[in-house]
Amino acid sequence: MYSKLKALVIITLLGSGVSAHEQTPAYPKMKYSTVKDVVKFELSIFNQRERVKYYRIALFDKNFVGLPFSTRHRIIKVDYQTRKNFDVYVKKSDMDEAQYICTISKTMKERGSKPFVRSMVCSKITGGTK
Amino acid sequence: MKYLAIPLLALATPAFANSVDIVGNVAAKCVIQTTKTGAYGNPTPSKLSTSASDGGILPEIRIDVAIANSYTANITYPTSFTSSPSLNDVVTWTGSVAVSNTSDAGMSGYDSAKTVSGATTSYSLTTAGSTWFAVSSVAEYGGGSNKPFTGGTYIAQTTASCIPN
Repeated sequence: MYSKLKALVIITLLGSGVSAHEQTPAYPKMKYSTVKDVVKFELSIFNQRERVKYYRIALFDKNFVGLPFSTRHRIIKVDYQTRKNFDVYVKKSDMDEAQYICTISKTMKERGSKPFVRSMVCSKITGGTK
Repeated sequence: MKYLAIPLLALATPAFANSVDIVGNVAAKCVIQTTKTGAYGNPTPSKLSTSASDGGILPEIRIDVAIANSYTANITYPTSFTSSPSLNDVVTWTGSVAVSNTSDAGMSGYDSAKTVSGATTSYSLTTAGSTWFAVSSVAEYGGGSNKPFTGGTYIAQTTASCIPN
């Protein structure tokens, strides 16, 4: 009985392990893309959340209202303990308003696998064409 | 014998020491960590609560910043279920966010300096290091009439954001 209880405690401790979401750089530099009037930002995400595999990329203004942008995949799969680089393309005409590029953790619709915490890490893209 | 000298001479060639650089870069960076996954307790049929006294578990989030004064942390307690059985009455949500631990004494004033707007609590991360935040959440069903929750699994999410200044 005692050994069963001890096993349960260990499993509970393992289940509460640290899991992290990181996005860099905090202030990405604007780069010119090969498309006219479109600028590019290069970012990187690191996933240490074992129960999260997908992140959504979003572009916001200063009030966190979504803005149009382009990227290879808006929802990216980032395996546990891996880093993924991604580019975000923004029209020069939107650079007056664009302020934050964020990644937001997504949860699967599988029963019983949803984390309680949704994480969002942003980078600030000031100093654009304005 | 003289043929043996050739490989011996080759072995005697001096090994040049070669140093390998390891480069590190400390830049503004924010890492959101889930240190404790929360759970709702069900102390009465009409109430779900993360409070330990109600049988729940407070979710705990740790936010690490590498450079002081570079980020604001926004933490929002749940105001809806992301998954639940069908409900036909009002759910009243309450909650709060508080600093539960810090890695630096300079963070002791975070709770008194926080700003609360609706369900979101904002902290200006003025000191580099780690801060732990505990999020409490209570959902009550029936708009004060203590209506029992429908049986099933209820899931809600708290949101932690790191916004560069």
